[in-house]
Amino acid sequence: MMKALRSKDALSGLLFLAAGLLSGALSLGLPIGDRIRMGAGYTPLALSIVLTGLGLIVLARGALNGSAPLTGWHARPVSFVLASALMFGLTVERTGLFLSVFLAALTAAGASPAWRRLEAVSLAAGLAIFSSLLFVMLLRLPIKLWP
Amino acid sequence: MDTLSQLWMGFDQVLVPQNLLFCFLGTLIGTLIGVLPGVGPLVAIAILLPITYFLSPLAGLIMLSGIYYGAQYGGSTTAILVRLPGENSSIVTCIDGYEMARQGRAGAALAVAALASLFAGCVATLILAILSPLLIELALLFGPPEYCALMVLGLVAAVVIAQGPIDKALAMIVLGLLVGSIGTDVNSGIPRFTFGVPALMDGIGFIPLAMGVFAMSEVIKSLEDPEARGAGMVTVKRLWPSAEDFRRSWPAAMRGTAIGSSLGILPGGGAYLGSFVAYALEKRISAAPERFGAGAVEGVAAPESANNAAAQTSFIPLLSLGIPGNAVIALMAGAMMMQGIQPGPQVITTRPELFWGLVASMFVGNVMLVIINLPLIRIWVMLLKVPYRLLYPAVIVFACIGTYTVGNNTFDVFVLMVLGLLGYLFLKLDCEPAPLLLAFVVGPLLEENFRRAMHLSRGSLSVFVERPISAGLLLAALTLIVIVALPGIRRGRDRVFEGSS
Amino acid sequence: MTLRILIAAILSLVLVGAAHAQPYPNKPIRWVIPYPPGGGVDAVGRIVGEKLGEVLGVPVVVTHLPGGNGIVGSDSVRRAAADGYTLMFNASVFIMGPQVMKSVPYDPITDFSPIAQIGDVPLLVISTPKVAATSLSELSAKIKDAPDQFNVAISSPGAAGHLGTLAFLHHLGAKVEQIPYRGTGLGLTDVISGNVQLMVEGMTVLLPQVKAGRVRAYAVTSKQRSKLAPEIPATAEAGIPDLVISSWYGVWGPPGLPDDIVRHLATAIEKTAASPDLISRFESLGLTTTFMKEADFQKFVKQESEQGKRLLRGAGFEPQ
Repeated sequence: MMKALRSKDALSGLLFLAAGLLSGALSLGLPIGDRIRMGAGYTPLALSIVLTGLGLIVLARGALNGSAPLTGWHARPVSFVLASALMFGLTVERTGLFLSVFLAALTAAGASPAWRRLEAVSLAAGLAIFSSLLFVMLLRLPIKLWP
Repeated sequence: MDTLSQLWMGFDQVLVPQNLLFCFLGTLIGTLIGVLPGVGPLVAIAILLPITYFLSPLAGLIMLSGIYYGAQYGGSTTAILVRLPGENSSIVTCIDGYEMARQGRAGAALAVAALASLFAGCVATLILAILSPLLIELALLFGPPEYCALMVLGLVAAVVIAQGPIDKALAMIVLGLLVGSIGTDVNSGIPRFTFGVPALMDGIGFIPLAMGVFAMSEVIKSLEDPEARGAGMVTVKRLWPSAEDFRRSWPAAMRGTAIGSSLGILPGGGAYLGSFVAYALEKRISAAPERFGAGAVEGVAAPESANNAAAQTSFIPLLSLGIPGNAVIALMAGAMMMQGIQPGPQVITTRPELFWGLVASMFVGNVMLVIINLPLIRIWVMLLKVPYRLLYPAVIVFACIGTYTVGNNTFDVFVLMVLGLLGYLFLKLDCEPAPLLLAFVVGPLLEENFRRAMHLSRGSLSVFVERPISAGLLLAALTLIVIVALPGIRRGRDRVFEGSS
Repeated sequence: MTLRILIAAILSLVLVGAAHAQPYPNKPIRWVIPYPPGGGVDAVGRIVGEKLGEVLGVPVVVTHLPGGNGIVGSDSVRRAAADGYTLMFNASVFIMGPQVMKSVPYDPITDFSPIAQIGDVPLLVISTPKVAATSLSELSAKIKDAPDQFNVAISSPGAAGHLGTLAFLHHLGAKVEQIPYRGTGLGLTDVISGNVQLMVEGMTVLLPQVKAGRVRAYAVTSKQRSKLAPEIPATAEAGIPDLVISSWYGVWGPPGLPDDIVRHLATAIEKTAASPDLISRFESLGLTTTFMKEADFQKFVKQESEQGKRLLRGAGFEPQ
């Protein structure tokens, strides 16, 4: 049973099911209204019910027929790529674009084992210079450049 | 004859050094903006808007519109090269364009995209010149029930596009509709699924969503398999399209142009559907639908021509009615207002030089775009020879900057991060993101129009079948889904057996 | 002559240098428009910002901070430093915020420094041409006869158009279905095509459609007729003298803006409002340049807010 649940389709089904139940629960907190004057929760609730149903179907099909199992999780790329975006978001308004891009690119470099330290630093610096020139100097986007 | 002489007058207006210069500048900026992930025409035009204050109204409009349709050209570049759709119009191009690039046919994909766009741009501009007054009357036949039926047809097209089992595609669509309902409910002003975050009150942005589920997840996936893309992505087999590519592309481009031109006219958001419907049609009528998703050149030609045609004809509501059909066109209306010209149906008669000059500039601009773009293809393809590890930090950083600049809001960057994780999950689970994205774009329009139709009909569902256009569209959607459902279920089963064996 | 000017210039430079602190303003001003680019507030805000920059002699940089129907941008101005380098351009809908949305984190009356009002535009009462009425009283009679045959398009809750609609319906005592839209354009399209029958909205957007005969106008919600459309009667002539309402634009600063800066800005805005170029651009958009300074503006804002509150309460409208 556990093995059947590990199939891609079964897991997708679970994902849809969870999303459907969550949004359904949240929709119930909204005014539903009637068919003429639908409230804010009318369509989300209807969609949540449909999604929950579809989730069950996908789950059942996946569990019964057993599609390809989910494989190949690599923690390193996921965490560093996401951390890179996080770094950018946390720093851009505090340190300005230049440092923010530098830090984000340096973090991104962590995602691949192939980098040498000096190489990563110079690429990050290059990217920071390039984006500062392009976005702030040339395109004049209203972004702070320095702290 | 009258049209012809007026068009001639338009060319007279455009073929002066100043206007030609701004036409060139606009298309060049548009191309570059389109290539830069995340920085779309909306941001570019918003930035350049103050400059137009100092230009003549015509020069300003020529430049801004050049940016708009130029970005449609450029937008496909990153979609093909790094699976990064900068515009909702290039979501579909990601599917087969990126696949072609992985097979070493990036040059062919880019060239086909450019030529299909040129063809579509010219035809659609001709339509704009000759048929605007007539077409706008047709567009006015679309009320809430018609828009609703049209959106349903668009969602059915998204099911056709999807590869895997039909139940998963449907679930992704419903999920997309739900994600689209995040934000303030238009009717009541009540925030939905916002958890009290003001930045979520306008909903999740298209840019972070598209960047997250397409680009960020693709970066992660590519890094998991470092050998596949370690030293340069692929060997580039040939730069230009083959005779076979051309033979396959041109009918697809014609059909794409027809679909894009007709949908672009509708001010209520028809333009979004163009590329999806065109792609779905090609896949449906193809003798070998399994080629789609595996690098079919028609899968690039059709959506690219459709979105470019729609970009041109979406000027029709603004120019002949004064009502902008999308956010970018609304900015152009803003540019006109800054010049003291209130957009409206009378502009075409009171300021004919503006209308015909703009139309003529679109012909000139489309030709300029091809001249700018064809030589660039060589450069883009060279970019693919750069080792991927040097390229991916730039993709991430540009995705972040692009997301941030949309609303000058760091919250969007965090949204990008979360959606990147979600996109990665989708990739791992073989859930295709394209239907979700279309549903996300179409969802709010569908809901609004459905509620409006129900409100106006006082709750009677029969409006959808009593009004001929809506009935026709729904019938088409029904037919399509029946055709899809049968082989779709079969295909789903085949997969299952493959998996279990 | 030139020499004298030169000497004067050098002298003044020296004097300014001697005074050491450069007077306000000496660096670019962030001009926050809390909406996405495009649309009425943006266009008017840019025109004003452009001219104000010329008057002040420093660049006025338009910054869009869209989000939450204007909440995000307005709130960021509220939290900005009160040094006069962050200002907000907004429309009358801003002061009705808490009356239509529960999530507004500020009080638009007390949490901002009102600087000046610049420009307003009256509303038009229009119908689809399919409604064959020739005057406001005939239209009113038709609506009262069969209110269920009518729908009215609402483009934004709390905006002047919404308040005007409520005031009009309140006067008629008729219950007409209100169909909400996202912005003016789509609602107007439905009025043109006859899917919706009525609309009360700012003249800027409606007038071109009236002139093209795509919609029928019955009255302008101002005391006098508009210069742009003298053929449309004012509401008083058409029988509803109480229906006087307009959409207006103003400039606000963060709370606690020093009085001298407010005065400096108000004077500059007054000059801006008098510039012929601005007047002509405003006129072609159907806007009247009005000017109202700090104290007057503050009083006006309070009155408007009270009147709006009464209308919304009267219609049973609850903030969401």
